[in-house]
Amino acid sequence: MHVQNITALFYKQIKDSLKNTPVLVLFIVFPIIALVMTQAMKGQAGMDSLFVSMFSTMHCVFTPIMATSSIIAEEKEKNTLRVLFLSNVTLKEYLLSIGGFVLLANLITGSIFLLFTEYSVKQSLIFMASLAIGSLISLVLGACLGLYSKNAAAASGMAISIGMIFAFMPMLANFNSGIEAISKFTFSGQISYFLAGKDVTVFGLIVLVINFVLLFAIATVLYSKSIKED
Amino acid sequence: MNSICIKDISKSFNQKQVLKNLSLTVSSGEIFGLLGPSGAGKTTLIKILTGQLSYSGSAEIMGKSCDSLDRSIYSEIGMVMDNSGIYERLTCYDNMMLFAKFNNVKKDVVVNALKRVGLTDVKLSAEKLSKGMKQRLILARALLHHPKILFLDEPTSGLDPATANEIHRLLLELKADGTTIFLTTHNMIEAHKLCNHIALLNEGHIVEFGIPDDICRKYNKENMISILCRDGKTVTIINKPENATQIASYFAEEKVEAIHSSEPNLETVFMSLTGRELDI
Repeated sequence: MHVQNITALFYKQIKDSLKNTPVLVLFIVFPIIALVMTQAMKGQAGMDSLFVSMFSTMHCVFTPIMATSSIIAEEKEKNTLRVLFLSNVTLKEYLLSIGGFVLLANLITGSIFLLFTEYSVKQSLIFMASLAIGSLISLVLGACLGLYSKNAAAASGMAISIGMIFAFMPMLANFNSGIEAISKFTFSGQISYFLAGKDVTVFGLIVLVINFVLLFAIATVLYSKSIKED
Repeated sequence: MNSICIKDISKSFNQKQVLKNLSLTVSSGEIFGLLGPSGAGKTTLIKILTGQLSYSGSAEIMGKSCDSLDRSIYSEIGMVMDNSGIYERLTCYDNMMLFAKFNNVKKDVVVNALKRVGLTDVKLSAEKLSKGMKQRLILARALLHHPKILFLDEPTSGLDPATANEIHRLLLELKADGTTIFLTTHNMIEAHKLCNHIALLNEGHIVEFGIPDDICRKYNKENMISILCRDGKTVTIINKPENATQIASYFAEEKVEAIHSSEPNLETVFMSLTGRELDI
């Protein structure tokens, strides 16, 4: 693994994304909605924490899936991804750089949620750690969708559907025990517990690890397929 | 020494055979041209040679088998394919710097590479470049790490004659520097001008292989001489001793503006071998 490849791709992605308005908007949409909603419902007990928990889960799950899949699918569509593969860039280097950018951008914009809470330092650290882990798993899922799709439009369609399922499932689980039974085995379900300030459990950590390993294995297979054309 | 060695290569897509028992060699430091109409299998062969496609048979590039190429090979080859992408939102300079960093190439080399292909406005966003300028940028990027072998897939297709000539000049410079160039084209004038050896590819078969001039002479069966007269007329006469007096009479009467041998060009050779035109 070459560090210069990772840093070069990371800086490329910053420059590219700064000129890519749709991707930039993705990173701020949920914090802004949370800001508007908390201000609109100000004074009503429990609303601040409800909105922060709900929208931070969406920010942590939906945004990295959308951003990563759209970045990778665009690279596939415009054939820059193939050029990278043929320039000695490996999957790890590529995912670390693109993922590093998405993770960093998601954490910076996600920290806005803390402005609407009265979390202690410890709670804030757990919140940011949960945001980081959730974003990491989501961006690997986004990478799978981006690598699987033939173009940006196809990736966008799949990412919206799958992103919404994973982002909304934890919220719906609050109202339906059947959905909760499924949700607790998904990374977004566990992350929503952590973001809501619930205790971190061993079961929750195991679910996160299994989700990550499975998705990373799928991403590796899809990457190998995208090097060979046939 | 051979840079590329192919023996009995075959390739099929969905039971359709695209390449059929192809064999050829490309010597180091030469420009090799693979000529054929669209769909003949030219791009497929480049993809096989650069490890992007599986195949049956034997293919080697710089002594390494193409079905198990080490990724380090990509620091020794350059590619300009019709689907080589560029980052449209980045500037020419940023596009080049990304690949420069992969290969530890310094900034001044990047600027020189861009100048070499005639791209002087390095801060111009790539999305504002014309097709010809994008092609130059891709070529500059392929040359950045001084590759030993350069693969060019229809490098001047769709370009204006001036830009095409600039690219031809650059390719001849690279050849003089010792770079092996594997070029696909359906432009027989380009192939004749640039290539040391060519192969004519039709429906997955090599129908002819050799030095362009030799191939044209080989198929010069009619052996005609063409005389352009001062009054604008062109007279063609079979080049044989019995016609020497007739040819001499044109000179004696001061009618001759120019005289040429009229051996077939590569296009005519290709047509006579396959019944098809090259530029389709």
